[in-house]
Amino acid sequence: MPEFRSEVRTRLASLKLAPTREAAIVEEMAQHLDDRFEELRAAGASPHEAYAAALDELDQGGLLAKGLRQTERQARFDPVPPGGPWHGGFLTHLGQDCRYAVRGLRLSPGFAVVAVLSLALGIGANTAIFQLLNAVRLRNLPVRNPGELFYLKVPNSHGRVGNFRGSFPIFTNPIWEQIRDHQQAFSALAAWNSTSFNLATGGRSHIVRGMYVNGDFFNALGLAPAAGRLFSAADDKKGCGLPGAVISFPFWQSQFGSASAVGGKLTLDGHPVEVIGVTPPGFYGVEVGHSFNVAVPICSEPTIDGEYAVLDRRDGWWLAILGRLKPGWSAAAATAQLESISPAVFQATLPARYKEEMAKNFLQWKLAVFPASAGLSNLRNTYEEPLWLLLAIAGTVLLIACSNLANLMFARANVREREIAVRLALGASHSRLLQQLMVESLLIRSYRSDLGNCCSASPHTRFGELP
Amino acid sequence: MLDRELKKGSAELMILSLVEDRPRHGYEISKIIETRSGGTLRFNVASLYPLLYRLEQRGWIQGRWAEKAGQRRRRYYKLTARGRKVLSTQRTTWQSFVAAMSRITGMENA
Repeated sequence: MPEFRSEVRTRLASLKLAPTREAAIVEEMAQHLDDRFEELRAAGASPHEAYAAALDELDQGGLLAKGLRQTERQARFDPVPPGGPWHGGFLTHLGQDCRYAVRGLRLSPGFAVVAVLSLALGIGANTAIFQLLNAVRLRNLPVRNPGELFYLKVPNSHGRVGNFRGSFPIFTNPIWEQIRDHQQAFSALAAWNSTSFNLATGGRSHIVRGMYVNGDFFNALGLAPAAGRLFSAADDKKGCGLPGAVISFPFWQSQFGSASAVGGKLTLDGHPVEVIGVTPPGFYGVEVGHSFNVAVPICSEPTIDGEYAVLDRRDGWWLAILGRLKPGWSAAAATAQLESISPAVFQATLPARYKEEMAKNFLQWKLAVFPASAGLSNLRNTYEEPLWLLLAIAGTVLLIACSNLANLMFARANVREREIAVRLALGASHSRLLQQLMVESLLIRSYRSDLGNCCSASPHTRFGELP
Repeated sequence: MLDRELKKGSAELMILSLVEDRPRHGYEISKIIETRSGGTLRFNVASLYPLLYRLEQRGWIQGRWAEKAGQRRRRYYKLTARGRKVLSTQRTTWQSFVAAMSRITGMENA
């Protein structure tokens, strides 16, 4: 019996059919030619004559290839083995490669688990630490143009004595008033003190985070109210009593629910106050790790603190100051201007109790400005360096995990050498094999990313309130 | 109006008719056509299989590899539900065509 398969295959070569499809057609037509050969032989033809006649029917002036070309171009419906030749583009085979990759990973659970877990832990640790670092060091304040904000400080203010309150007890109120009245570099200044208030009117305490702020505080930060109004300079006049309170958006949601907060009543350390406005969602204050619930004007401090008030004390250190630079002013120019007014500012605010040496130091202080786009943070001062170190360690761990995974992949590639060789023999192109291996790697990556996010979710949630 | 692809469709009609009752493989189909037409009509391998694949692609017939006792493994084609409807339509069309031609040419009296 002559061999017709190679004859048929030769005539189909120009069609570039998928291997399985070509194999099926070759098999079917070769059978037909076998039958035809036998029929001709039975009719008395010699083997040579029968063979020639069968081939003649196959040729028919290229009729076969012509007829098949149209049909097969319209339908590439036969399945292609994973890694088979490229027909129909990337997306056509993507689903097939994904299914094959899932099956492959299911057959190697040890490899899958080790690969996914090692990278998930590495990525999870990195993500968690980066989230902390981002919150503490990198993220800008959620206010308008945070890059224009600078905070004021006396670089060498050692040796101060007096009453210290809040997270950043940098200035006294008399110094703040002097700076406010004499500085020229800033279009607006924001002074504040972080404190806490007891909302309870009796019984169990209900402590919330509070701020004393100057009248221009929210304006300097470029904030618009979510409801009601925010403070203005008119609200912050000496002897103001307790003219009103501005609350944060989250506090409104938790304290008042869906009801309107404006006009609502609060009691701060036993003093009733009316809510006049709500800050926009996302604004938590200007200190990292110390969000606020209720803000009242600085002038309210004597009303709330009574005999312990520090408002007028020259040795009452409780305020911090942020400023928004005027257009055209640089930090250096602002510092120079503040240095020029420093002698007069400190001369006017010298605490009476400071003795000769202390007074001399005090009068030599110079004001300076520092970038405050990311707000102020004691957490930053305390934890920034350890966090960078931790991130470096976690990054190294991730690199080690990657190198372990690379070794695993190499080992697996050796095991799969036979499989890949079979695919190449079946006609798979290198690009198709590469695509399939890439899909497998991406599948592992997606698993480990999901798991990595789970690993990093806890710290993210825990420190979610960090600005 | 009669189908202008009538001539071309006659080959389709023949194949659909032959696989109506039971599945048949390609060589069997070609032999039956040759036998029943008394040798007037013949399909060889180059003309038959492109047609079979086209009908399969349209969903009119369905090919399936099967092995029967004492025979080699072959691909058998059977009529699908869609193919059955097409066959019915083509039969009606063809009958109309033959009747019209007979009336025109007077072949019915020949």
